[in-house]
Amino acid sequence: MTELSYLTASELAPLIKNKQLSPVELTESLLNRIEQVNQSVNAYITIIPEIALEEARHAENQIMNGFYKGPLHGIPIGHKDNFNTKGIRTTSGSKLLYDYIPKEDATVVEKLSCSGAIMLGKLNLHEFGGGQTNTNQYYGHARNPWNLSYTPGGSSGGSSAALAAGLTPIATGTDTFGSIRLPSAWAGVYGIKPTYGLVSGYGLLNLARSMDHGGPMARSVKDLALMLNVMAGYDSKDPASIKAPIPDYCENLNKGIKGVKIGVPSYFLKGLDADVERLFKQAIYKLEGLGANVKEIDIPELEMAAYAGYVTVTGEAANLYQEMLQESAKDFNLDVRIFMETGFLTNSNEYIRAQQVRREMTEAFKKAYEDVDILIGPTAPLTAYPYQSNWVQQNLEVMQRLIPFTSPTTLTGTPNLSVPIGLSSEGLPSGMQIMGNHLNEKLIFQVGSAWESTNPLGGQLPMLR
Amino acid sequence: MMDSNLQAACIGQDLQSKGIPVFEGDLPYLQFMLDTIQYYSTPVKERRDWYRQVSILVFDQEVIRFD
Repeated sequence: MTELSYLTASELAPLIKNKQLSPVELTESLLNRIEQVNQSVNAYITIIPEIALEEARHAENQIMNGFYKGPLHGIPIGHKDNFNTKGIRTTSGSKLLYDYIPKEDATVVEKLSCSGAIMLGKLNLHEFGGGQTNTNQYYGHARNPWNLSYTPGGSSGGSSAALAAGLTPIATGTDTFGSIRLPSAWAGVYGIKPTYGLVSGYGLLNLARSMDHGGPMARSVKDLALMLNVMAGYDSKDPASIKAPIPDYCENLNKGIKGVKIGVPSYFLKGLDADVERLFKQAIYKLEGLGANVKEIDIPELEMAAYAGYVTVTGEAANLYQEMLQESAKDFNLDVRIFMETGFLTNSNEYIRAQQVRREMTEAFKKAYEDVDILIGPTAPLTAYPYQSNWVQQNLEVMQRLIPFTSPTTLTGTPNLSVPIGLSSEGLPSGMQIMGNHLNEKLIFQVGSAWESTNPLGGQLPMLR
Repeated sequence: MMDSNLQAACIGQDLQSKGIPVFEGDLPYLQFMLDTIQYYSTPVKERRDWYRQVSILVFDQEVIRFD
């Protein structure tokens, strides 16, 4: 039943609630599709059909007996394989963790399970989240469903590939310097990096603790809002968790954006490939057509983002993985080893300066949001590209272009949604970042939902070839 | 300007002193990463008069306001 594969969670939920669709039928359908398609896209590292079907039968019994938990009840989900899952192998994309079986769930997994979501399996990623392409020597590269020779982006490349290939309606991701937004953009799906600390990081296998954000990925803005309704909230087990009021993120999805003030930092207009520039300019024109007031603004502090991003992430990753690198350096993917070892070659003065830059950038964003409600920019200056044989050098070079675009809001901890904006001349998706001030996810979703109503991909689906 | 062989030797020595095994093939990639950081440090160095005054606390209750 391929037609079920591309329905969103928001479309599936009423069918399940009204007993027109059985969670078992839906789960079986997706497991069949995974069996047929996963060998091409390599989105899942671990698939758990028996557990998924057992959970689906449990959900079906509950719903048939009148106990409907809400819109995620009976909805299948894939979890990025750096979230701990009790009793289920959690590899973080690394050979070093090939047999690691956690004793408890990450808070995000636990919350989504409690909402009735059904786990299909664990999704591929760039090892330890330490790269932007999802190359993986040990579990194999994830493939972009729009062109299987191309990267789906990373590090949450398994999540974006699974969504684009119709192998799950919703997925989790993590974002340290673009790992939710970049793969969302390159695979033509939606993903939000929420405010730092809004979603618990407990049970997440970290890359760089002060920049790691868990968040939802999906094929619609409404699905992201439904997921964040479940995922957000204070967690005493995570020292970085924030105590903030959690609104209904779905509330303003149909409100439109008439009069919303949108700023385009000139920083994000430099160095764009021609297709990305064309699609982004068209997006600005369409947003104005929806009633938004769009203007170009200048945030000079953004020029410091790439430096702070590199120094902070490599430094924190080196600190976190020091013992593993000392004992088992050969077992790391080569590019990840290089990335982490770089953190040993910078010094504490540079790390402190990077943190000062972050504070400056946060203040600069705050000032910008006194003038505009939302900021936008292309998610990446280029679309996905084909894997090359010398992928290590390729990854380092591409990262050099991407980090200036993807690191600013992980440095500041401000929320950032990536939405598709169209297809390049090669038929590859491109994305736009919709950014807001801390805890302004509701407004970001409002703008994203208005944008989604323009049908940016024209209903086109990946060809899986 | 240090020659590239000497730079590679310094990188190797630095890693070794921290107990990290050194693979010769890694050195050009590590040099590439350091050059990248060096390149992106220019705008930070240009603002050297401000950074000493800025707190290194990145996220706190003041930064993420709840109003």
